Amino acid sequence: MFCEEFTEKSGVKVDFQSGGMKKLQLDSDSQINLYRLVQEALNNIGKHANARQATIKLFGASPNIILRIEDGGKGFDMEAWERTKDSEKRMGLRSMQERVSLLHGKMMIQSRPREGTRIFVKIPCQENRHGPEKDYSDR
Amino acid sequence: MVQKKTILIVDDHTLFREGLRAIIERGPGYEVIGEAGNSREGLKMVDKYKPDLVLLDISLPDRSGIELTRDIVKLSTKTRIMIVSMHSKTDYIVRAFQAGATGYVIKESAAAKLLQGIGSVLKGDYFMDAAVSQKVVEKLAEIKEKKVKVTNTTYDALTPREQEVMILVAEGLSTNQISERLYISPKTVENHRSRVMQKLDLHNTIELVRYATKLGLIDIDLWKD
Repeated sequence: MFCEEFTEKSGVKVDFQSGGMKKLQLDSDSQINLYRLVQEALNNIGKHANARQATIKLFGASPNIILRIEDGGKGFDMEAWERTKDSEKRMGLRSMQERVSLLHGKMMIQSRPREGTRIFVKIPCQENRHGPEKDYSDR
Repeated sequence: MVQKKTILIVDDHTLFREGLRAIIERGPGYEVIGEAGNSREGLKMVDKYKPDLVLLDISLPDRSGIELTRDIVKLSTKTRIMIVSMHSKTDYIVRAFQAGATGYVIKESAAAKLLQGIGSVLKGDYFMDAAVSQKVVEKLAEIKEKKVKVTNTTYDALTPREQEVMILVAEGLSTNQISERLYISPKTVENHRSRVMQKLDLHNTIELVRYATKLGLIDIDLWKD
């Protein structure tokens, strides 16, 4: 599991919580993209946040998937970030944003210097076409 | 000129604090910015000075140093904490690290060991007195590997439609509004809602909102004033 490896390498304790994903039957692209998002978020935390711990919550919230990543690290100045986010130095969060846009989702970032960073991602479910029928018999 | 690293000492024994201060100020690059004799004063000074390091005793007159460690971690994320204690029991040491300390030195240690510890902790490393590390490693070896992943199996029991209804209820929509939003009858909404409550063992809407918030399914901005 990536989170465990990350904890071992970086020393940042990761609390990973998830639920409600099994019945959503995600297609493989969405699964890979979600995995990459978590990976990118943890890499950012490891490189920049100077955090001791991070929490990742990944929950099915039909018709969406919700991913929250929070760290209690050093945080950053959001206004300064907005001004420089297109520069090459700011690749980490920008590539997450691009991935979320490709998935037609939305991403919100909150950060406060010395308090940490919170990232909220909401992605519409792209269900596996070969998976079981959705529970919509109740219409 | 390199800025000196700031250190706060929290210990209820005045003579001991003075001894620590004398040792620390022997080392280059450190400045003791304050001393406190109890946890209340200590926390106030952490808030005021945001020191780089707090040297902290476990036995304080008003609260334990371990509880204080938790508060310091919340109050000032940049501050590192090193416990300087007479206790060499493994349980104390493990609890101190769990609370957020990154260094542990026992009071019997030599001054050189203390300075070595301060240097390591300020660099962002963990430091443990060799006199106690052997015991701690033995204790750690006894603890079963803890899995990082936590799966919420109760929530897993919900169908996608039940997830949908649950979130809309948690967001404050009425049965009729949910019915219009999802093109299902109010009766069906009620059925989904009661199945959600039953599966998650919830008894009212407040509990449902609390549950959804805990999982991060709905937005409640804790940073808003």
